[in-house]
Amino acid sequence: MTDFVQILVSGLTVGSVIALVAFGYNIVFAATRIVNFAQGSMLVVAGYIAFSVTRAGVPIWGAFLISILASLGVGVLVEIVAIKPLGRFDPSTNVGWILTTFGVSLIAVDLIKKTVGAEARPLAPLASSIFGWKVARISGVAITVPDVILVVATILIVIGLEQLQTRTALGRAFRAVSEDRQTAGLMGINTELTVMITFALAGALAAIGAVLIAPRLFVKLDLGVNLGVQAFIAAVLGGLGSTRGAIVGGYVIGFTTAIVSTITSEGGSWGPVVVFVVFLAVLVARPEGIFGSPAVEKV
Amino acid sequence: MAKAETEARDTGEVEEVPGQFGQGVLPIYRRPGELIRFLPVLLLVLFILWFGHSQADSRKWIDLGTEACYLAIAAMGVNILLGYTGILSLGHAAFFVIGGYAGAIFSPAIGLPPWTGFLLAFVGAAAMGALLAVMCSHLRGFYISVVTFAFGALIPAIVVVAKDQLGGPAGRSVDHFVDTSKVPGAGHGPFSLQLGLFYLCAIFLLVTVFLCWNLVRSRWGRAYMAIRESEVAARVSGVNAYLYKVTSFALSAGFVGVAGWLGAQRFVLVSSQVGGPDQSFRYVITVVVGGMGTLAGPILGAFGFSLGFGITWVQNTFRDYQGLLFGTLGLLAVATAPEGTVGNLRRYVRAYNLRRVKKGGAVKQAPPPTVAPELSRPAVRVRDDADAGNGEVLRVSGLTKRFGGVAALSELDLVVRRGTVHALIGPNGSGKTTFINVVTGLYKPTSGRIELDGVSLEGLSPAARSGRGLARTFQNLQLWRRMTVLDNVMVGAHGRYRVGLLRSLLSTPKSIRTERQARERAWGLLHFVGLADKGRDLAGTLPFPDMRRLEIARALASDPELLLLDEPAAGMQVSEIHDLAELIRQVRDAGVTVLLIEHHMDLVMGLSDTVSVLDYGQKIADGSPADVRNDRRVVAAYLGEENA
Amino acid sequence: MSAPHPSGDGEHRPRRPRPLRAAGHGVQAAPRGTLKPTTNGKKEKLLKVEDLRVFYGAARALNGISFHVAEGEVVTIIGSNGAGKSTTLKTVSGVSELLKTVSGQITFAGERIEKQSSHHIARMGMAHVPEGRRVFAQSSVEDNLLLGAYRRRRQRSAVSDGLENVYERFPVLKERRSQPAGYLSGGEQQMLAIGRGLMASPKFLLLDEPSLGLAPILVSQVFDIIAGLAADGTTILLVEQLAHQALRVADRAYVLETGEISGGGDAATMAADPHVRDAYLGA
Repeated sequence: MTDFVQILVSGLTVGSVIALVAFGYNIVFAATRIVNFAQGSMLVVAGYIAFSVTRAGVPIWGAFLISILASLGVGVLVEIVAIKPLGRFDPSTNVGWILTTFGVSLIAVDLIKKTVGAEARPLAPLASSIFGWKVARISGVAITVPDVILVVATILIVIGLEQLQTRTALGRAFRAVSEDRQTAGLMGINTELTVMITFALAGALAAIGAVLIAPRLFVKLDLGVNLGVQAFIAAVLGGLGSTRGAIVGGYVIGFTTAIVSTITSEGGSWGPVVVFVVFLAVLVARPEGIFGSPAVEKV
Repeated sequence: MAKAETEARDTGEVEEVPGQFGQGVLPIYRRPGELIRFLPVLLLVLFILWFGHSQADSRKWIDLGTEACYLAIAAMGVNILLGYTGILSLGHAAFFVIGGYAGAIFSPAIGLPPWTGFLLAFVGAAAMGALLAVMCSHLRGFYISVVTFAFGALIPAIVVVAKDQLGGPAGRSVDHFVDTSKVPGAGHGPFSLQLGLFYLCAIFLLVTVFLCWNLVRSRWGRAYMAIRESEVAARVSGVNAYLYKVTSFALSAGFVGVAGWLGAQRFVLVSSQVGGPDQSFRYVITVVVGGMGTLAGPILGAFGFSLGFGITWVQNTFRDYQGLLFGTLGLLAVATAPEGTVGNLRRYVRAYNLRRVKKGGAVKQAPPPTVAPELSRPAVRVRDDADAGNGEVLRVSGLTKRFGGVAALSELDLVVRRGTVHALIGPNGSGKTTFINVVTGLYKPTSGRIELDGVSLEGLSPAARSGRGLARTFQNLQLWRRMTVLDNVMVGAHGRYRVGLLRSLLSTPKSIRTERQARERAWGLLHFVGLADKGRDLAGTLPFPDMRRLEIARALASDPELLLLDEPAAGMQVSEIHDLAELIRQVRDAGVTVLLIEHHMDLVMGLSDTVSVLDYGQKIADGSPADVRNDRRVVAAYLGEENA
Repeated sequence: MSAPHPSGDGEHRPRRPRPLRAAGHGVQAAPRGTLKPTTNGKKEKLLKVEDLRVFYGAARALNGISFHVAEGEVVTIIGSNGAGKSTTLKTVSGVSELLKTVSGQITFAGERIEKQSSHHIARMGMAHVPEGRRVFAQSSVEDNLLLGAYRRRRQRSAVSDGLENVYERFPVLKERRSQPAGYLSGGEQQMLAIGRGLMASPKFLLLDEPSLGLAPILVSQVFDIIAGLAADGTTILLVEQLAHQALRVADRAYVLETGEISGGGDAATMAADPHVRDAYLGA
């Protein structure tokens, strides 16, 4: 029973963490058909910003908001540096953007290392108790308030993103730009600005993710890399471009990792193997993922 | 300003869009026999000799030199796939690990002498490369990269997990390594082992250069580049794109595997540390910064990075910030100079050559060789199972093609008779392009039958149809713009002058002979269409009507029975259309049957023997030009019903 | 009702094309000419194109064409394939394409637009209904229409009024409002594309080959709709291969051949001109 609860809790929390980052990949892909490989490092940057601000005495909620605002700028900066210089291109065949966004992520990680240092930084949780309740125990497995906030927030965010993408003019514009850029322009949509907005949103999502994740995982450099890779896999598994896919993919990876580490004695080592094998299998069988539309193969 | 631009367009002086990432690098023209082309290799050899001699006492530099050599081999491997075939792999470092295990652990374990390890390293890595290719070659560019990424992350993870067999995260030490003190030049100093290893790696590097040099100049290399520039055109010209992508993956993986074996000799250890996505990214950056699509580029990149890190200042500044270095270089390279160092150097050389020519300097090119007359005409390959009796080249029966609920072609019947120019006309949206795509095999028909020379084409790929005598040109021009005019035609003859991969790699006498024959034939066809004096120009720099002629020459190179011309006159001026008509007549007179899709009615009416008219995917008229022109249904199809 | 067609030996009887509106084709609006001043008055040139040259890479698409459209007019450019009709529209509306170079002058509502981006021009009030319709297949019918109103998306009540108007004009769109646009038939997609263009409440409507890929009966329906728009006073530039249909709804016409304007004039006159057929099927 303990094992089952452990898997459940672990799967939900790890899955939420991954899903939060996967949303960032998703929102950019939904409008541009580009995968922003700098997403993971944007999260780390946001986390360090929040940390630095709290160290200057600002309470956590203030730091949260400041970090989000700053990350909007970070997102735009990534777009200007990694995407804009490439000019006009078809993202599915001309893949230089893979190298530029990947390059940006490497640069960001090293810059953080140089300026702030590589140690893990603690970040206070948004709330450590609700009505005095701090930790619940079920079958010996601990569930803390930040864990609950994490999972609830993830679900709220996915609902919010779905609403954004389906009901607002901006969301419609995203879909139009990704489907047919030329015609989107004919509607009066400023496609370049729209692309910038998606990157800014991705930045904001990264900041939200950082603050929610930090109590559990701390803010550290390899967090960005590991999460970045896992979230990318989750986004592709779920179907790039689909918010629903991102959250489902996140939980799939989360639960797979949780199950594998609970069953096997090696713990950590088998997790990645299983995940990558599943990833490869899905890519070969159904590259567009669970919720994606099959537009992926050639004539 | 705009006027000057448009005038430049007319004379064809303006080159195409500056290099975007992934396109080929401009070749430098060299007259045949010009020895200067061997200069870079000579420089490499001299550098290696100098380096080995002068650094013989410095353990650090010998190690770095060794690393430079085997990383250069790995880079050349990556370059075959990325630079020449246009596929970005994010997981190639996995083959380094695979090669190390296969060559340094497994091979001695089954009793083979240590120095032969490179064979299993190459074969093992190549096999895995082929496996990877099979998993992803049918996908589009981005998803191929995703699959390679997954593969490249999986392999090190497997190694980490397999503690007993493969040593886990710490790796396995190499028990039977090569005694490199026996390598010539190793000498008897304190570092003879290391020095010997350096020379061993250098020898392998030079062998790799030799093999890649031959590959790039062979029909295999040309096919890879054609796939990169336009896969569709490659397929209809007879290149089995899937097979070639798999071989490209296999070759590139094999070279990286050999590099891995050499690396294992250096560290006396194989582990997964050198096999992750970060390493794969570095390989790619090395190739991009050096100059992808060239031979010197990867070598320059690898030497630059490896030896560069030996410089104390560089080491101190960047040792802990390698991500910053590689990330920035990658960003800069892709965003501002995608052709890399060697690519940009070539631009300067080309510009210099051009200036020299303009000043009335040396003759621009060697004159085109004269070619025997029988090679300077289109030829029709007679097939053994050809149904030569009934005079029908193409018979289409009941051809239907649906896209979703819409029928683009509907129960279409058509017969093209041998030796005629048969035109297919119809208003926009009537199905002409769909027709040509179905006949050439790019689309699968919903139902119906297509017979070429009495033999059904069902199930045959575009490349196979090319082999049976079908050739086509494209309305929107699918030339391989960054290859020379001559190379474009030579790829057209891909199926006619065959040489196997091994022979091409080794440049055997047979392969040299076959290449010469192919080249002669290509020159002959260029003479035929009137492009012989532009043979060594880049296809992308041709004036527009010449580009159309080039496509025709390329199509004729496969000795087709039936030539499908898809709107060859689109975008041309009236005088150019006259010349085109003359060319088509000559093609027909040489025995090739022509199916012409066109909108320029003067061209169609003046040239064709038969005209068929399509409307809404069905044939509504068929007959001589005069009959069709006055047919009421045809007028209605074009101009609309008068009484609607 | 029937008019004899030109026969092969050149004999033909002059016909007077019957104005579409008077034949009761289901179009309601006052006949042309009663609401606006006739062509005697000097009308504002809403669009003026001068010496437009367009290249795609090395291929010449347009070789110095000039034409204009006055406010309230319906002008059509006819010609066979490859003549450059769609290129003309796409250049006027500012669509950027690979390797395209443009020289010449385009003036819209008094402003020079040849270097402007398509979204800027769209916001100036030009709506382009593209060739092949190009609806957003994965978005719903209603989303497509709302996207058409993007430039005035903040004026919510105006937008919902516009939506109601479009649904009134095209009831079948109302029926299918939540279906993905990709599921609609060709004719319905054409109506959707036109409706989407109307949602912008445009000063100027560009229609690019509306008959493309449509069965003859749908072609008539679509041209009825266009005639209705014309009768309402919309300024339209219509590019079309089916000359007969186009000449019926237009006031003036130009003929485009191989990137050059080879003729033009009053639509009614041209409808009777055999030169038009020669432009398509060769002399």
